[in-house]
Amino acid sequence: MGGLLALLAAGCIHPPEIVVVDRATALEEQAAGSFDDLERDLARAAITPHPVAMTPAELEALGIKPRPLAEQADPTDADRVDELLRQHCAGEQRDGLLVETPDACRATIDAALTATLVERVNHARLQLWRWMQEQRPAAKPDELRRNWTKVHARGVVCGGWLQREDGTWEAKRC
Amino acid sequence: MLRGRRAAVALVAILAAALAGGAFAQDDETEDGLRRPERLTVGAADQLLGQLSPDGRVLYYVSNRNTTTEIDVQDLADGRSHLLFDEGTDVSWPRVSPDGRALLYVSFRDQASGQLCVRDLPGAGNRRCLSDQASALQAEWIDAHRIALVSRPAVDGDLALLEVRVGRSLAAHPLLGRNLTSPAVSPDGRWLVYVPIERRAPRVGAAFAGRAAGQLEAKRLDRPGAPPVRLALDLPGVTSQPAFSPDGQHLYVAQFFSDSNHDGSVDNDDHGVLFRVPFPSQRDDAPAVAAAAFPEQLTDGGWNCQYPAPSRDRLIATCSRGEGLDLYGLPLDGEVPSEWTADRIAEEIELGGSQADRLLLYRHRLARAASLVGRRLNMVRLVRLHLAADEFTPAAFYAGHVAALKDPETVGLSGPLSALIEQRRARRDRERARMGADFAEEARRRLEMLAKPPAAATPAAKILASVVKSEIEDDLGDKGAARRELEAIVIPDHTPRSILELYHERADALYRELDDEAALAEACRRLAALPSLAPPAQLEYARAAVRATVRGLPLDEAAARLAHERAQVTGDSELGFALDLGRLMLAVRDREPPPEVEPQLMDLYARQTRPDRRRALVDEAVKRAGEVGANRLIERLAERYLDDVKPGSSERRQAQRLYRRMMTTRAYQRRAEGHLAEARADFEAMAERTGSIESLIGALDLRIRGGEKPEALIAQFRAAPAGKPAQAAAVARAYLAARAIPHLPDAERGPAATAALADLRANWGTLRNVRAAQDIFGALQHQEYLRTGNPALAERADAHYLIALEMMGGNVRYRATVLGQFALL
Repeated sequence: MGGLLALLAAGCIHPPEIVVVDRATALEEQAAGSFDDLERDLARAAITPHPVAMTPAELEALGIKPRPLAEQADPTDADRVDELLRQHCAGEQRDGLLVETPDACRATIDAALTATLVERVNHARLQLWRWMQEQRPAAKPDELRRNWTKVHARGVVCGGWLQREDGTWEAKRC
Repeated sequence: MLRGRRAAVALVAILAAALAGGAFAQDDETEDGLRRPERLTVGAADQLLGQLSPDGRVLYYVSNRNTTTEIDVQDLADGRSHLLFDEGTDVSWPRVSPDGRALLYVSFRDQASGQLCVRDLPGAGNRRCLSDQASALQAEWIDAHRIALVSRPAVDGDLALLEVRVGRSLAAHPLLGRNLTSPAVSPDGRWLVYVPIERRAPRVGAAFAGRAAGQLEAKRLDRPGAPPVRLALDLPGVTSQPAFSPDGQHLYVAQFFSDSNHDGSVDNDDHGVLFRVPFPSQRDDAPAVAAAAFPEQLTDGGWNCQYPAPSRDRLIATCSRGEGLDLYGLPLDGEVPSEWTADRIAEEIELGGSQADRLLLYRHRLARAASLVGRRLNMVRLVRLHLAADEFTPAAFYAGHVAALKDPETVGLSGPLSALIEQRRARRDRERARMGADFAEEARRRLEMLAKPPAAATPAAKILASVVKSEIEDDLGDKGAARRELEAIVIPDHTPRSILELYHERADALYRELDDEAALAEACRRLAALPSLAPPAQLEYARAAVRATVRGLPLDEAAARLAHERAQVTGDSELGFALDLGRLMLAVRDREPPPEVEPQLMDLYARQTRPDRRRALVDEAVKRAGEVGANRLIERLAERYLDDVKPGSSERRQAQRLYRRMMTTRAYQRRAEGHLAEARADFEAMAERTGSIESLIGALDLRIRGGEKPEALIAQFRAAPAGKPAQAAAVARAYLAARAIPHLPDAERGPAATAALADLRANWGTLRNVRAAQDIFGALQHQEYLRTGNPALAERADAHYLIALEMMGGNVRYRATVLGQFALL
């Protein structure tokens, strides 16, 4: 140890020059995962101002429904219900009530408006069943409702979402 | 591979974001002829209370982008904005003096309750403020040296209107002792128009517990002793925020129709729609002229627009579409061009559009309706449309106007119409669990009222009374009575069309509720057979009859029924045509209809000479073929339809829209399948036949993908092709430049981008409303930002992307592109 110190004092051995830099070399940046130039080139290439070329099927797979080619002007509540049934956003339940079916829905809809509409329709149906019961007091309420549901299902729009007796759902076939 | 997967993940995320942006379906370019408000400011913050400088070049407005409210200024030529001055605290209510040399505003620096200050323009120096302990609320310039200031001397006191003289300092004296808000002064200084405020509580000041009157007042400023004149515009709801046009000939206002935020009152917190009325300020009877005028609706109800600020050639307004506030510009006569005739508007209505669009268009058609029949029909349609939107106040307003028509055919109509509106309002309140008077009791009271029609009630009024009684009975749950009431109605020929529409609406609701499609079909057939009804209206009911006849039936059974019915109908009636069409539609059952269907359909089409019949055929066929995926049939029909309709007509635009939607679907499908030449041909055909700029870009993209160099393609678009608009060529050049730049050597990128931007700017007057152009503009500046690192370029790119994004509407493909560009930026 004493010999080494003596050599140092004599200037025979110089410590290596250490240069402290505040920026990493390009190699170090790339090794660390930073590729500024490359990223800029990629960004440049990615700025393509034209629509993303997706097919309608690909968009539908993402839940984006094509806009209908023919739109009905001034649809009534009944027309709106038909459309919800066709899009499987609402379904005719086996107990005769209309129900929202968001999991099966194939369109983008206004949930609040749909809820109000479904509630309005069901309110009218409950009234109707009460009125039918008044007309036929001898009939059993459950039977009345079941019969009504059967008759009603015949008039449900083709392709409309219907619940089977076993609880599963299907699109009405015509 | 990794890059591909990352890109796919990013794309899915972007598309999800595009979808989350609203309830959008796949969309193409907008096709209506309405002039939508053009967005002027961008950013995540709110931008509001905008006003243009007198030369129209600079926009002053309030922004809260730095948390405090500040006054920003934007050069409209380059779209760049900056803080006008730093007050060090909140400021508001900027108003430019008529000579453009000073700006007044309300500062909260020295007085927490607001102080009127003025600065010189353009530098915003020479700040001077009114030394007054009263709070400054709002102010307007009377002329270049005087200001009308709404001031609140004490918390519990009345408001006062002061006149402030602007010199080296500001000095005030009383102008009017009146509780008021929103003062507006005519440019000649003769008139002050304002919204009066009534105090609600004697011990609380009007500014805190005041109720704005629903109508305006006007007062002569040049006659100090003259009393104010009531200025009630002929509009439903509450009128507010008056503003004079610079020529002093029009008064612009914001109108609040209904309680859109459901807080129990109609006020400035609700959805605003802009209107204007003539107000010749040089005349002594200007308020009477304004009150007697038919106010011109400027914006549709799909926009919440307030604080109109008309300049010489443009109207500035603060608007919101559900998110933040921003400033928009639109022509002084609003979304519907003044030169449109009643026929042109009718064509536009037939094209469809949103409910808000239809309300706007019907109102403009009402303004142009010369006959009593036309006015009545439009008014009743406005009643129906407002009812469908749960807007009961405007519905009642138009019902009142029907009653006011001196029309022998409408005597007694107002009672049933009012009862219908009250019933719908009560039903809506019940659905919202808003409990008022007893629902059933009130409904019965209406029934009693309807049972006693006025002696002079016309047959039309009696029919409407029965229709309304049927609806009320239905609401009360007495389905038998509802049906009896409806079925007792005998519809004579010459019954007004507006009444027939209400009758049909009721029949449709009741019979479908009762699952009695046969009764509905019969009712529709009766309407279709009314000799006095115009053939297009007969056709509408005939088609409704066919729909009711087949709804829900197995296809074979439905076909047999229509065949049976067709055998009963002779001649070329509307019902006969509707049945023929219905039968053909039932033959379209899957993607590949039987080979005979297409020629039969084309033959039926060729035999029709009336445009409404052809349109009906196309509508039905497209709807049916769309349901079963028979795309080829729609494509051929769309081509044929486009060939036939007159260029320049509204129907032509409808045909173009159908054609473009079909061809876009096919082009992207073919592209995905690798049939690039066919896909390119589709895009080129769309661009050629419909003028679609997006299709042109689609075709160019495929040409580049096919190996052509963008630089070489640019040369082909040096000039617009003969007969084609220059804007398409300009967008094509800019797009190609944007595609070429990434592949250029570093040194060439800057000049190429500069040249492309200059090219776009040269055509910017027309291109600023083209969404693809906004996106390309942003992309070019984005490229420049990447080259230079200059954040100002990123800011400009951001602004153009934001405008493009808003203009994309429901076009998911383009929204995904712009959101991707945002992500990169």
